[in-house]
Amino acid sequence: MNSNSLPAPLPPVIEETSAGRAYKLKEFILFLRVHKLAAIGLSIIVILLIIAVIGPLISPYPDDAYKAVHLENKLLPPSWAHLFGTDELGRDLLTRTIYGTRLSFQIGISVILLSILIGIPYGLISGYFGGWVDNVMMRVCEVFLSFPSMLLSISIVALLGPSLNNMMLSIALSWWPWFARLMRSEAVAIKERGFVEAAKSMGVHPLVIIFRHIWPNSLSVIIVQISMAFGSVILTAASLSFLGLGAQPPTPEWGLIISTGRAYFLTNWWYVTFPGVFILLTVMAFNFLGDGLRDYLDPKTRNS
Amino acid sequence: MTEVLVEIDNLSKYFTVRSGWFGASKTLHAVDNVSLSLHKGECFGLVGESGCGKSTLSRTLLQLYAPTSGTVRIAGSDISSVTRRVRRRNTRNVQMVFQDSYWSMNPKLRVGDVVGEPLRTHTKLSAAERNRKVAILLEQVGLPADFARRFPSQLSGGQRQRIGIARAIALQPELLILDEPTSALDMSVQAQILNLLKDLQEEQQLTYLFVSHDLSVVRHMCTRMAVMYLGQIVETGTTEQIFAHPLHPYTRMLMQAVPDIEGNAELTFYDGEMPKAIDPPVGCRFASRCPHVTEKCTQENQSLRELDGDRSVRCHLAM
Ligand SMILES: Nc1ncnc2c1ncn2[C@@H]1O[C@H](COP(=O)(O)OP(=O)(O)O)[C@@H](O)[C@H]1O
Ligand SMILES: [Mg+2]
Repeated sequence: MNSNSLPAPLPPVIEETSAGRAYKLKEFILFLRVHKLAAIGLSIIVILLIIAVIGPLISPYPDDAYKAVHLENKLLPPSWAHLFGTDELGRDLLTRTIYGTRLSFQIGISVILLSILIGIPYGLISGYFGGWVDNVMMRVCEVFLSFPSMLLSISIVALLGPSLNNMMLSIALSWWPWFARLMRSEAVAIKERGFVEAAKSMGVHPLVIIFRHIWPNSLSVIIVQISMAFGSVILTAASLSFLGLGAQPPTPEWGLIISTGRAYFLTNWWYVTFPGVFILLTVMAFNFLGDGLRDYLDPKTRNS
Repeated sequence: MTEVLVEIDNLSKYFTVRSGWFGASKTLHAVDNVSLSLHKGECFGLVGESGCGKSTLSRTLLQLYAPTSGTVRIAGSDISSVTRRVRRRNTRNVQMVFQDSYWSMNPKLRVGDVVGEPLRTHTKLSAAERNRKVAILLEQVGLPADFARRFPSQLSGGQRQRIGIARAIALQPELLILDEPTSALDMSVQAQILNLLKDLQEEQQLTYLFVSHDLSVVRHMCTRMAVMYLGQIVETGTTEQIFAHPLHPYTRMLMQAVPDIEGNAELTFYDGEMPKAIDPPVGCRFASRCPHVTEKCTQENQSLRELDGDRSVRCHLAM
């Protein structure tokens, strides 16, 4: 083939036609119409996410998020000035709950990121190579999985000392094996498909096969798992903080707020109620969405 | 013309299979002592019913399976050579067009990336050079260059098989294995693809190993051929010879099943059951279905006998 006869270069590879994209979006909206729970979950998550992002702008008393003390305002019931009431130091609980939302999403994102950064390559490598590599890697995984995850997190925090960062690390350490296992089973299934065989026969490097062929084909499964995990991670973080093993005062963390507020539960109902409702809503929303996404993306229940 | 390119010498590939969870493990002789030589620039046909080991042989040639025993030499170099460099060169020299084009392409990659993959792997071309080369390859297989931006799922079966061919010829391999390249396609599309393959072979002096269970296609495409039954070669020769005078009873049986011109194949009238090559007993493997079976057939192993005029047959009754 002589290089003088080469035709003009291809136009740059652009995204799929906008018509195709619009069609996919339409299909998803249609799905949400049928799957009411997923739609509710998604709406709640979007609202919470907006609250988290613009938190400092919409908080009525941004100074109250951390260290402010206004003893003259302490333990006021909900009113127009303080929609969620105030705590024992006179801080606005709406402000603290909003900052808590922000913090919870930060925790969720950090923990999930860390877990998938470890778990996904780990599982892909284990599943793709198989044999003794797989055996050793999966035994290590099972050691982590054999502890109840809460117990594992508590032990790790106890070892490293209670703090927000150690708590996030400990939750990630109990979560990554789930991602690893999931990715392993995906890799084991996908590596049997013809395109992997084709790539192998062409001498493509194993790592290229893993990240170019197997990984993109397992995305949908991982998205479902992330959505399910997100709620649990936030709940675990709140629980650890409640136990005094996570965020430390005066951090506006939901679990920590509830932990302090439980002393006032009988006399000042609003103190624990609002952060509690936020935890509940968040966990529920992610589970609804995860369930819906599973139905939407699972090739077994949907053929596309 | 008769320069030997591929030498398959006593090649075997056995699988260990287990019946049930607690069953004893048995040996499946998927490819059993196969010896073949392919000439440079020819189209060599390999026929046999499904399950006889054609794909296993192809996969072994592609180094997807390590052979249980035997050797394969391509242009003089052993494909299971210990040196990485030689093995790598061989992955470049042997390419395959897969039977199921949909199954053999990553649905998340665009056609341009599918066809460009061998180039990425074995050449140092820049992305722009690669795109240009992909455009040429698409043109060679009769597709417009802008197909590079589509996804495999947006193409028809015939178009996808053309993509599979473009990918396989990208590196101008010494040997191109075609594993039932048209069996998943409609008759009309099938003819187009076969013509494309013929044209490409003439233009580029490619050597084909053409695997098929369809005798009429092999007759149309190939100059020499081998018939395979339960892992063994039972007959070899030129296509002309074999179609004029089939010697092995199995070959004759296959011939009776050849579809007529309209393509109305009648493939279901075989007598006897298709056995599996699991721990095969002594004697001819075809004995259970052979209309001419004698005592000798079940008592002695049959060897592939060389006959006059570059033919061989594995049957003591055949002359
Ligand atoms: N990876 C494998 N493990 C165990 N048995 C296999 C494997 N691949 C193929 N076989 C068996 O080997 C025999 C030959 O299969 P194959 O080569 O696919 O036949 P063909 O391509 O002629 O239809 C079949 O009996 C099949 O069940
Ligand atoms: Mg096959």
